[in-house]
Amino acid sequence: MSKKKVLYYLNQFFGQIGGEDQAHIPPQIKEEAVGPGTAIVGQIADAAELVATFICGDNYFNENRDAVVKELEAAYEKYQPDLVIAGPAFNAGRYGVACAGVAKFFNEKGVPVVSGMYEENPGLEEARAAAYVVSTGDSAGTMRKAIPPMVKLCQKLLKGETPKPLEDDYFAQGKRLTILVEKDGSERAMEMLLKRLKGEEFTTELPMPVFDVVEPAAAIADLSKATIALVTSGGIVPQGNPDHIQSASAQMWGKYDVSELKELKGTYCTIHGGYDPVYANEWADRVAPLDELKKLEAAGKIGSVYKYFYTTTGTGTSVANSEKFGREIGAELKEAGVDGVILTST
Amino acid sequence: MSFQIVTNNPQVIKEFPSCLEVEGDIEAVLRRVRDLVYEGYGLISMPLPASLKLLYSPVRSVLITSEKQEVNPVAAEIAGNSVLTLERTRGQRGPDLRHRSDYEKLDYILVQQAIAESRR
Amino acid sequence: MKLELQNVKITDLEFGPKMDVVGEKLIIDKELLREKLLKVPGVKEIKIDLAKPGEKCRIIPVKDVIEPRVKVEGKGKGFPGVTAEVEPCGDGVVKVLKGAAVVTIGDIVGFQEGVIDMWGEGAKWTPFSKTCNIVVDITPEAGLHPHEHEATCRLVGLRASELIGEAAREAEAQESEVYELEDNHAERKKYPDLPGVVYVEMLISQGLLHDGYAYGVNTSQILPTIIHPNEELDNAIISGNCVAACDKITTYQHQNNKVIKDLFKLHGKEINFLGVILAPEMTTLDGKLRVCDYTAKLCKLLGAEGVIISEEGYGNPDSDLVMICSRCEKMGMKTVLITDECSGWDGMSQPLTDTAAEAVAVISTGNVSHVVELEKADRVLGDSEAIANLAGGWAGAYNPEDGTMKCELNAVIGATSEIGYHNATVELY
Repeated sequence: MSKKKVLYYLNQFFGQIGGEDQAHIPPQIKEEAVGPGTAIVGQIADAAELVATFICGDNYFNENRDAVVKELEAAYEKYQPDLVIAGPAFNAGRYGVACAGVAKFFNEKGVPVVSGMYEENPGLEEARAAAYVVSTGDSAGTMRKAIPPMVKLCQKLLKGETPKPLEDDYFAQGKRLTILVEKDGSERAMEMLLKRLKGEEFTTELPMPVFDVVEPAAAIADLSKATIALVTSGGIVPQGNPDHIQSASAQMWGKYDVSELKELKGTYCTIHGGYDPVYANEWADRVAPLDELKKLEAAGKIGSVYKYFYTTTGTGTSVANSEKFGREIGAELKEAGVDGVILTST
Repeated sequence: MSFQIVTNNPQVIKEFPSCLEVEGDIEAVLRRVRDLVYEGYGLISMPLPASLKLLYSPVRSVLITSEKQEVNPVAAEIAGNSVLTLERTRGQRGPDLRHRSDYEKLDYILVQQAIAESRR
Repeated sequence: MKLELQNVKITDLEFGPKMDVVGEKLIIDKELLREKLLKVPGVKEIKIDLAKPGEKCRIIPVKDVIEPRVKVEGKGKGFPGVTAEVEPCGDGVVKVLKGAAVVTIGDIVGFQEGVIDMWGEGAKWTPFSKTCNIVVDITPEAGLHPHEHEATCRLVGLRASELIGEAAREAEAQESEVYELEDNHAERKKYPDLPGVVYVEMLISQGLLHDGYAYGVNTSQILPTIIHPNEELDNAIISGNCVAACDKITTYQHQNNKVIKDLFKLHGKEINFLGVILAPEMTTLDGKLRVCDYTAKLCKLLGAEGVIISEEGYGNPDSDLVMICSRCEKMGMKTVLITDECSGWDGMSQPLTDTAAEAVAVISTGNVSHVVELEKADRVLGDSEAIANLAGGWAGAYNPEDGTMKCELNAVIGATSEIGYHNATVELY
């Protein structure tokens, strides 16, 4: 039986090209195992062979998605892999987002993808739905521990078996698959009830979603006297992106004085990595409607538009960072006496 | 409690000329109900049916109060979720138009039951 | 109250000159059955067929499934309040044709589904592919009101169960199940240290094709009510529902309610089974609030520490389910819910219509949108138009070359039984 073909994805660092100074490099392909690939592929050598290692700089990947996808497409055509391994990315945010991008690409082609990430990696949410992402430590120091579960997953997938999240220690993809089991629903209910009555641990078969509930503020009594601020996670920034806000997995937010402007059109653009920028670049108010707010201000419908416009990028941004940005921006707006906020997403 | 019927069912519209007529399919009805509940109309009967097959019905009739009252958060959540559930459950299947008249007849019977229940 | 179910094992079916059991074979007197069923008001024509496990046979659209049985000792013959005088159920001896089932087909509305495949992939997904089925196809008189039409089909099924059940009267039973529960005071005295458990059985109670009956009373007319579990095992509860194929509770499943039987197994050992509450699922929000408050109160009043709550249907009943759960939990009772879910074709969607943080222990009996592939049948009992319903749902569902069709579990009878009568569940991947 011929061996299955494996393609490996690494960033510039694990691809042994260089550190942050090499994060801008475009994709390159080596037809040999590199870095962690050597260890993992070595352990599945009986069933598979490595056909290519695809290496790309983290910044290049996140800033030139279309170009990278073209290169991935070419690699897919040329090597026809049966399995793709990406990472492990540990807690490296941009690397994680890049692995997620790779996972998404190959998942759509029907090729299974194995990766590894720390639970807070901002790439995890996107990656887990498209790949089998093993839970790893938060730094490359835990590489030794990350490799065995990734190897085990690869072996299962190469054999055509269906992995299970608990058995195989990967982040559940969130897919709820209907199966037939030995015990009927009533018997399972009895077991769960007895465990509950005895105070023992039990596992629900249908976890309720957990929502972060935010109490809405009281309604604004008189809009014509209210100061309204404009805030967006749509990545709208002054042309040239003076503060270098990230196009994905944002680490920061920015604020810009728009008191002299009638609209964002012409002087603002988008750096958001998660949607087609053409229409936003043509007319940035489509994402953050300063033009309409200014018209309402002129018509006396609202008291005034707050002097500063706040912005960041929502795509791939971790929940922890989003909460932090929200608190920081909220505190400033409250301090400034802003009465209401128009918050736009994409 | 005085009620009004939000409906797109021609048979119900014929029998209850004072109803709130909605153009479009069942989804349009549920959206209209949701918006009215958000505005403060009380939800009398449930927007969703009790059986899966009726989610494919092209028609639906829902009872709301005829007067606005204070917004009821439980009702608002139910009305909001109903739209999402419909989309999710129907998935790629559209309304079952082949049996339109049967769906209209059954919806008419069920709304009568809802009226009777609301008067208890 | 003490009920003994004496099971006469049936593994085969055949038409013959009189209702009888020979070995494990049930003999059906087709002419007698047809003649008697034709007398049910509203019936124009009756067609009777047999379908055995393993045959390449498809039954559609199924209205109800009923177990044939006969009461040989004690009060309450047949279905009290419906086919027979009003008398209390739950005490005495019943002989059951175990392994046989009456399956009624009657399309009251054109969009009914409800399929039973007796073989192959489809058979895995319904408990009624394992029973020897006597299929009764009902044609009503012209011009019947839909309510009358539904009542006619319902009565025909119940009558068929009684007529066929007569075959068990003199037959030898191979096994016996005994269900006994005294009054709460006596049981508490016997098992003072065991936690009390109540079973809340929710029933769709919303009008035509969405009804349930207790002693012939439409459950949309009742407040939640306590019954002795034996009453349900002895024909007191009847299904009047036929548009929620996968998760309606058929009359057969009431007669054999798995939750009741399993709670009896634990009674006196791990728990003290305090009783069953029938909770109607109303169509108005106020009706739901009333029922949910009332149900939780009854559980508390009975002294429950644990409560099993089973749903019927999908959609607005999800609200009742989580509301009863929240109320019970807030009153300090521990609940386990049984429900099915709809998480879409790919299983990636949020599964329930309504949710509550208190619903921490939930049994999922499967995703109603899970797609299964059914092979082409050699024989179809019922309505070919209903097959078009199955196959006509979406583009690509039907393969005209080999006759296979894709169908969602929601069309398969009993596939995702929310009283836990079947083996489907959902696993997270």
